[in-house]
Amino acid sequence: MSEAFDAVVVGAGAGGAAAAWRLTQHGLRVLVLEAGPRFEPSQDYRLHRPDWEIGGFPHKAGSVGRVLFAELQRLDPQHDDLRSWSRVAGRHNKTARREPSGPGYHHVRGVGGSTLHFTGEAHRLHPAAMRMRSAYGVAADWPISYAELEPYYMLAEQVIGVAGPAATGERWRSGPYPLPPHPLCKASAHLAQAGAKSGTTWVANPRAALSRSYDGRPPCNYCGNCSRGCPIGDKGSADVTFIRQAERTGRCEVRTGAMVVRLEIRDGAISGVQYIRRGRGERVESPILVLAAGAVETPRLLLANRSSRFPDGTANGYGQVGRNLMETLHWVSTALTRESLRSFEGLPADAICWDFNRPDAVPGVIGGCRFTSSTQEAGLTGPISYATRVISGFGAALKQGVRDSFGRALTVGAIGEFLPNENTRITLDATRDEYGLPLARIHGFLTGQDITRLRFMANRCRTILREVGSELVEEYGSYDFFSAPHVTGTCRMGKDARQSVVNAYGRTHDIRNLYIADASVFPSAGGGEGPSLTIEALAIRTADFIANESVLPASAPPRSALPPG
Amino acid sequence: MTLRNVSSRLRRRGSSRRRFFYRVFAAAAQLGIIALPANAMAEEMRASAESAATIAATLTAFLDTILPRDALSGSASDLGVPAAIVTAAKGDELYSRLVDVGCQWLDRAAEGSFSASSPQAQLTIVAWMAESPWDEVPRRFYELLRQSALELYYSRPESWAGLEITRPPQPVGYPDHWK
Repeated sequence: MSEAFDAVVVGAGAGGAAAAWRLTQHGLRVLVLEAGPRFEPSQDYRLHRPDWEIGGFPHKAGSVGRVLFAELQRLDPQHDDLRSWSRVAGRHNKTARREPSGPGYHHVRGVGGSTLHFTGEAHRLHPAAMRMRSAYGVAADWPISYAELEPYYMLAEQVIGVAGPAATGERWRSGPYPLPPHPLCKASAHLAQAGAKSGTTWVANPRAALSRSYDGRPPCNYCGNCSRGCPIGDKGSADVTFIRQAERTGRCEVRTGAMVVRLEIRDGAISGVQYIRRGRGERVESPILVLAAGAVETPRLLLANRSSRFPDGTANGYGQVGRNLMETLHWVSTALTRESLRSFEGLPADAICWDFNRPDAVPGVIGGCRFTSSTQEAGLTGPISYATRVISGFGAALKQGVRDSFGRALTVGAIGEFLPNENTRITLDATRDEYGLPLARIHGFLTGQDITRLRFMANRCRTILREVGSELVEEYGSYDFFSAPHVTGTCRMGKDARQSVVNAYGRTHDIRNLYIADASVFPSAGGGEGPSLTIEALAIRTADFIANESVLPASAPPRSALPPG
Repeated sequence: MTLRNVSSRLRRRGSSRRRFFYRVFAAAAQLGIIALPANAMAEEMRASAESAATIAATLTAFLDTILPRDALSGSASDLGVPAAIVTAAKGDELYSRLVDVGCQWLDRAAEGSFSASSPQAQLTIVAWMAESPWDEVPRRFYELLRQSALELYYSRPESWAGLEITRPPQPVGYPDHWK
């Protein structure tokens, strides 16, 4: 492929991959610059090895970006019921302050991005969760409606091969899912039965995992370890779906190990990008630039690129870049059932309870949540996890305890709405990475509303497990740990440039050929829905807009002549 | 005893430093930079070997107390866990120090040799470690070595006897899991 591209996309995760795919569908030639490596599923993932449990997702060199954290809030004894603990280790956080759990921000740099280690829930946002300001007086409204996004959800689901149930609930659909839902594993069926008795409804979770062969990919074999990397390619990660299809057109080139460091601006527009690859600086012309590096790296890149035109960072004319970060508010309770449910097998998060997902469904607080059957997601799929997390002590009793408990762990997980607040955001730290860019500094703060919602989630998880007659052995949540796989909202989408960074099509208010197509643009995060499908739907919509724009005459019409948003 | 104290205590004790100096001296002697008396060099080597053997015996006894042999599966040492930990410690100075100090603590607690103590005495000592203060060496040693040992042990299919799994999750998966 020649060096001339119609568009350059930065990042090959959910948003970048979907945008690149759609742009190639429109006939545009696209260069994707990905800072991380490409993973080879059959070689790099280790689920065929007896030590598969060690180490989680098998990161490769260059697949984790560094982030720093500002000091997090002090823990209050009145909320001790929300502290993470296990029967084996006692309190997990032994300090008096909230702390990042491991890297804190859980992501993958690489072709496929964080979809490589995601479970693969394929959720549409609740329509009401897109009107949080007008309906509930919190966060911000989306500048587009569910109805406008719905066709793009359909497209994304088709590319991925989403398997979901016929019943839609409040997330109405213009057509069925491409594939039928997956059968519930025994553990989830157990939860669903217990839920029915107590009045909660558990249904098949829409999943980016194939229930039948699709698009040349095999069906899921239910090994239960999606987050450790799917070696057979049935999981709908962006590398085996959007990127694969984009590359198949011959109009998409992906350059891995390409760290973008500089956005060149000429006459108020992006003219090119500079990146470092294999230790050398390179440059490419960029008629259209789509940033899709995620809700931490995208604002970092913008904030780090200062110029006389944008002294506070590119596209940051109103100081909105990096604000409105929404982290993952989550809770997980694990218990042991009386009999083995062989809970290590099946599709992770195959059952979901949407009963409390509406923004007004949680008593006393705005912002919903959802519950899932989470045993495999929690990593309880092999003997190491039982020996180190479920059974305490040592000696003969430990070994027998592992045998007696194996397959009996039952986990209920909850993810809830996180409303943006002034103290949760991305800034730049003085520390620089190996490329000379300042590192992102994550500021996190839980408000009283978040804690109230979290307590509801925790107590519900406990109640559900009590209903199935099981004994709690481990709990883990957001109160004492910042642990966020879903990070959204740092370059908010909106109609008002003073309160947002991009318009309804992902175009920055300040620079007309600069777009953002990742989780940064979310004005609100929903009631716990997984964000990847929405990221992909928005990115496809942005690509359609770019493709339409690219055929406009060079002297483009003023903003007022463009479609709303 | 905190980990910081462990470091300073190690410095006082000088076991790591002695080995380090031995290596430097030996290399220098080979290069003819200094002339080390042959009998002094032999003495250093003998002391170092004895120390390593003592630590290995104590570590093995400790790990076999954590994971003993039973009717269904072997002990930690049957499955090569102590050797794997020694290998891992060679590449990690802090871990290596913890192993050394923890094993020395075990021998002192056994008033001589932990490995030569009775099984009941070994159980009593390890049970005490498991309940000791979190920030002190016995507990840290117990927790870290227990974690390492369990990961290494249950990574071996021979340890899975009596469990409901017989193979890793892939390539077969659990295709009929709902039946």
